[in-house]
Amino acid sequence: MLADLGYASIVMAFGAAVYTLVTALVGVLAKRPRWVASARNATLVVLPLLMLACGLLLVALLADDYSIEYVSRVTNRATPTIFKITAVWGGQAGSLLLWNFFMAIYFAAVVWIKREEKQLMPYVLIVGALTQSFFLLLSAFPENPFVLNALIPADGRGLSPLLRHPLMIIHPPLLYLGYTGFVIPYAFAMAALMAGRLDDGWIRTTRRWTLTAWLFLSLGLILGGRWAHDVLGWGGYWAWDPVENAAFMPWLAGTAFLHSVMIQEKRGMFKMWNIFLIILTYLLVVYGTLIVRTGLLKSVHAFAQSEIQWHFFTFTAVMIILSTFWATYRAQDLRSRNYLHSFLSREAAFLYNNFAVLAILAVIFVFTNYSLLSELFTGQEYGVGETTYEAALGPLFAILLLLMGVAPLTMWYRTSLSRLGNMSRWPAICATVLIILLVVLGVRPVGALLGLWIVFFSAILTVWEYVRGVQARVGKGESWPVALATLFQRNQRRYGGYLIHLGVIVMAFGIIGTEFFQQQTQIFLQVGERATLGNYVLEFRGARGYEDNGLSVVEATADVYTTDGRFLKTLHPYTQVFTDGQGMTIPDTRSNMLEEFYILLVNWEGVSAQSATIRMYLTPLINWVWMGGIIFIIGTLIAAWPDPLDEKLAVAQRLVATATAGD
Amino acid sequence: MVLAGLALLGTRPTAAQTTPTDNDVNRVASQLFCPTCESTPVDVCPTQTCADWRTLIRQKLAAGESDAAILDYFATNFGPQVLANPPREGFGWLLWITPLVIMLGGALLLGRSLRHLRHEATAVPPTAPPPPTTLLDEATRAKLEEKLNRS
Repeated sequence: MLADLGYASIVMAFGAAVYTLVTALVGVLAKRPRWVASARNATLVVLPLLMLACGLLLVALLADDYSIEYVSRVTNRATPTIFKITAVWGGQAGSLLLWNFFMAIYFAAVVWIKREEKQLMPYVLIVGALTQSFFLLLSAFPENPFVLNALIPADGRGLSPLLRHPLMIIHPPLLYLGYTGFVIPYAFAMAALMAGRLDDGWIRTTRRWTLTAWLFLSLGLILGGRWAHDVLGWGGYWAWDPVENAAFMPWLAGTAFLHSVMIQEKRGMFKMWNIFLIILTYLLVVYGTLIVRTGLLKSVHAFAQSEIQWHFFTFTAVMIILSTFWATYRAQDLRSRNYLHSFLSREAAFLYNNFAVLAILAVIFVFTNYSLLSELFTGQEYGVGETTYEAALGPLFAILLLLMGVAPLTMWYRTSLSRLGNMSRWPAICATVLIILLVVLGVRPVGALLGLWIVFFSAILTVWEYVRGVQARVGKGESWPVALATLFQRNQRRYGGYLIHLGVIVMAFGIIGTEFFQQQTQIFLQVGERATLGNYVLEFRGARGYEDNGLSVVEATADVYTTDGRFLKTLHPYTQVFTDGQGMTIPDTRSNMLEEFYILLVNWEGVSAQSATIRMYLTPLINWVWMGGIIFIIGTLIAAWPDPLDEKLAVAQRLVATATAGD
Repeated sequence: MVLAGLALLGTRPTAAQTTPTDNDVNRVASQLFCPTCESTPVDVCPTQTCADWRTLIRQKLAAGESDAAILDYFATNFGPQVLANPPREGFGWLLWITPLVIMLGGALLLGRSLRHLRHEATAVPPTAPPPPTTLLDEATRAKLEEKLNRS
């Protein structure tokens, strides 16, 4: 009954999306506004239907309704309530349903909020409904979450143990909110192409939507890193895993887009390029979903067996053809009206940024698909590990960081080299002094020193942007805090943006620390024995086993001292062993802003656990990564926060557009 | 296959016998990927397979085999995909030159488009859209003007 209702609402949502597509098409082609209005209303119907479907799936999970196959696969009776809720996205079918639900939220919101927008909306409805129809087709047929069990099992199989973590409650939904959000700017870009309205209206209309999607994707990535650090037990936070890359690639394309649109807004250049970037972002979203949802790269051998992979390939091909067709059809209108005055200008700097970001993206794309490529061409698979990624991407990230510091110094049209030199001389000297200090203190690898120089240099330049802005206002008689607040308020986008830069620079500082200076060791200890790593001494005090929620847990106790004998903290790393014999090792840490001492219980012997194998990591600066993440998010929030002035501007633009449309 | 692997091992010079530490085992294991999990290095992988592999690595190290010989053994028996970093040979080379090609290609493209943009400005004269002057009150207009100039 519940399953029937749930399935019916998914099918009806699919029907509504198809209806939107058809009526919007007819409305546009036959110039019938009432058909477009009907399409618009149909879009608004998709949301409540999917809300109902998600709600019913949640009810089924909470009620242990094992007549539904999905419910019996991702939960069991022992599952705590919170993880019954997160089980909505604990498996394939549920994840896709949630994906659809989030996309419906965005579309309903954009259709409602931009209801005054008449020029682009009919086309937005077409593009949006096309995407929605595809993903709802998946949920309605091959990935229906409400499929029934032939035999109702007494208990379910339970959620994958790795997903039973507090961060897993929030991390996947944030990623999906990021992924789906990019469909909005894409739909508007395509609408601009179809309608032939190639001014920057579509960019201004969707700026906050793009930033919102980008914000969620960033949050998802950062929390994903934190989850990996807390659960996966290898002392790191990013492993260049295909699933991580799948989320990072659209983020990179979106980053390039967010930067280059500023050239179009200010100078009317690079229209075609911006269209290309948003199309690329959208395609990477679809591709990322393909990688994550179909396990394309995990099981290359199941290539021909998985049905939904072909759905994805077909859809991707259709969207590439459609996008390319419209972009080439309007190529003449997309030509730039202005030209570049100098290689040293703000607009050129944005292009250098695009070059670095897209080169990083291209390398990650090739590496991520390398197993697929090598299988295709040589019949043998090759894997690509962290070391290779880091070696290839390190220099590109360094260029990007350097640009982050220098690019804000440039001005539109042209900047003189002597101006750039004057403004960066002192930051460069300061950074050099700091590096010399580090060398004296014994810091060695040249790569690390180079990276740190760029970090210091860019950090000083970025902070200097604020100091200059604040000083100018203080000169007019404002107090420092008021001046800083006004700075953010008067130009949220610019100063929010610099805060994002600062966040990235702080993260880079932490990443250099963890990449170049992490130490690790693994050692077998009897109770009472000690081991040393860096300035830390660990004393193993024993381990005990107990049952927790049907899982058997072995927990070790160990004391941490400094090398001169001062007691710091008692740590309790533990291992959970699941019924299928798989285990999960959860670390315990002692950390401050300088470094983190991280230990894992790798193995133990005997029932009384008188001895154990402990793995220890000493990771400098890792907490700067998380702190940078927080700064980054605050910056994005400031940049994206609604500004009443923009609303007025939008109204004015709309009125102008309506007034000049009849010319 | 196995024979080929053994033959390969036979040709490698063997070091003196020592008792390998956990760190020695991890050093080798971290250069291998788990054969069943996605992109998980063997030194941190919790599966039984990887535990067995670590035991095997320990035995081989104890027998005096070099790191490279052990990696070769696994690559020969389980395919090159178990190597965390592709060998610099055959198709593996492609991976190492890809970043260089991308950077050079990107730089060329960038340079070309920059020159193009600079020298061949299109003939279309810039046409300014009518300003929304009459639609806004004075104060808002002034603020908008300032905002637009700033961004």
